[in-house]
Amino acid sequence: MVTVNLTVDIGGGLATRNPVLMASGTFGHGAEYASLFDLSGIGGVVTKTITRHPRAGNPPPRTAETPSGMLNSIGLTNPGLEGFVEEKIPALEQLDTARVVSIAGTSSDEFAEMASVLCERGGFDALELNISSPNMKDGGMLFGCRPAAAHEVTKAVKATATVPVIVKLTPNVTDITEIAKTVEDAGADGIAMINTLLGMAINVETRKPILGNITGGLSGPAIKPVALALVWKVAQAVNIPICGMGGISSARDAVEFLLAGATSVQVGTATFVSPQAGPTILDGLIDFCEQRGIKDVNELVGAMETD
Amino acid sequence: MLSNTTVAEGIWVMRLVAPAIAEQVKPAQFVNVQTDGGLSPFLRRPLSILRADAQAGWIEVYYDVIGPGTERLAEKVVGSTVDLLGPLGLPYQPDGKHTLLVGGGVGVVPLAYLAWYYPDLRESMTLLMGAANAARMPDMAKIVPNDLPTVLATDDGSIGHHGYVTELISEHAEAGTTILTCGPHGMMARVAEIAAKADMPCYASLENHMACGFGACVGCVVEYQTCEREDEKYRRICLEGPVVNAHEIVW
Repeated sequence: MVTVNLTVDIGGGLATRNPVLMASGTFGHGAEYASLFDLSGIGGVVTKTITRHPRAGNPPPRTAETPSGMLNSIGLTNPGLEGFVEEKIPALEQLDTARVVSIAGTSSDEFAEMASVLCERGGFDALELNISSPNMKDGGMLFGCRPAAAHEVTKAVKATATVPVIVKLTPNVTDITEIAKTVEDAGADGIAMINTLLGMAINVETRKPILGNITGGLSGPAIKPVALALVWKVAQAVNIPICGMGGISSARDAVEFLLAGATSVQVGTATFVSPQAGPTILDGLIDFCEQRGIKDVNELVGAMETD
Repeated sequence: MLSNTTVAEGIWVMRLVAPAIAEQVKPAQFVNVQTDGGLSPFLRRPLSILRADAQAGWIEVYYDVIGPGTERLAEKVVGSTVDLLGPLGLPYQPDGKHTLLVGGGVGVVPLAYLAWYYPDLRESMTLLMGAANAARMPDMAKIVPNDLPTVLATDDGSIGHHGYVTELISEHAEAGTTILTCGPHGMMARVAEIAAKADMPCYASLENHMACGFGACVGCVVEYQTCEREDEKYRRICLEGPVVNAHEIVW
């Protein structure tokens, strides 16, 4: 019997039944892995990023193991907007959990066009703007690294979207709080952070990069301390909810992100190692609260004590 | 874990109690193995099944010790627990015609399991097995059924044919032969080329570094020669493979 209130606001008043969501790019388009994952308890799912047109992605090799983590250079393989609407939304909309569609464009107009088409179709609860992929040469991080571009994209999508808009930020910037504040000013309902850290690996025998795309994005437990510090900094700078992520693989990791100021968390790379990582982390979070008499998970949000 | 022993230089066979997998697993399917419960090595290692006994409830995996993950596996002792995810991937689909199994190194694994799995088809199969040298050639009596016709080749001639295993294909192929292959990329590419010239069907079991093994990460892809839509240019080895039509991919 759950006696802890787990409901949190992930942005724009969108309440999820608990703070544990499955991160974009680690979970297909929401429904493909229903046989492997028990979704019944999860707070929400974020789809693999959709682009306007179908994308092949980057040439292999696309992954490389690193200490306590991995590099990926997948490159946003996806069926495009029309393919997603026709083939993926019908299953996604059946899911009994918060459904967040991740989108990436090559211009603010394209972002807005995608948001408009998707909102007209419906069948999901929020949009996540991927302005932070290190693997998209014609967009992605290009927007997330420049305050003016991040502002423009957010504003353009907000003008047309009929669901809450969450902006996913890149850690590959000098001052992430500047980007966070500018997307909040532009009307963002929430922030998701962090996307992967730019990284690479070299085979010293062949002197060639291990990834086909040369560089990729680093994820997994290796980046957790970086993500945590950035979430804490952004939490001081903005008033909109933060969905924290970066290497979360246990309930205690999730609690750390809440204490640093995130209202919710996403589980990503951990799912690759343990398909049940999300539900396991949720169960552990409930236990953590129950054992300490915490009646509402929101009590943990931003509750780090610095004195 | 029931046993963990070497069968050739650097090559190990591990037998594990896994009744659910033993009951379901088909040739060329694999398990994704957690070599250590901690953070390093971080990802699982995909290993093909050498043999399974559904009644006794065990499976065998066969692995080459090539890095920290497989080093951890080789250190495991009888009685220890290994976390497995599987069976994963699509199996070989034998057509019952005369079939050449062309294996190189650890690539023998899915081919050996094919022969174990389909005893009635063994008389229509011949295994051509290549390795670098005699030390790296396993004792085939421990790997494949003894009624499977087997021809060996080594790069240095220390056992069997002196040269590449692919040089044996022409003398063993017949009209209507199908080739099933698994081994190093260069070897399989050569097999595919020979099969294409002779107009023989050819299916290859591919390997690649994987993160998840169940389709979610889209990391372990192979390029196809043609696709109907851009997002199908690269397809996942773990989910749409590991067995692919060798004439459809870019080698």
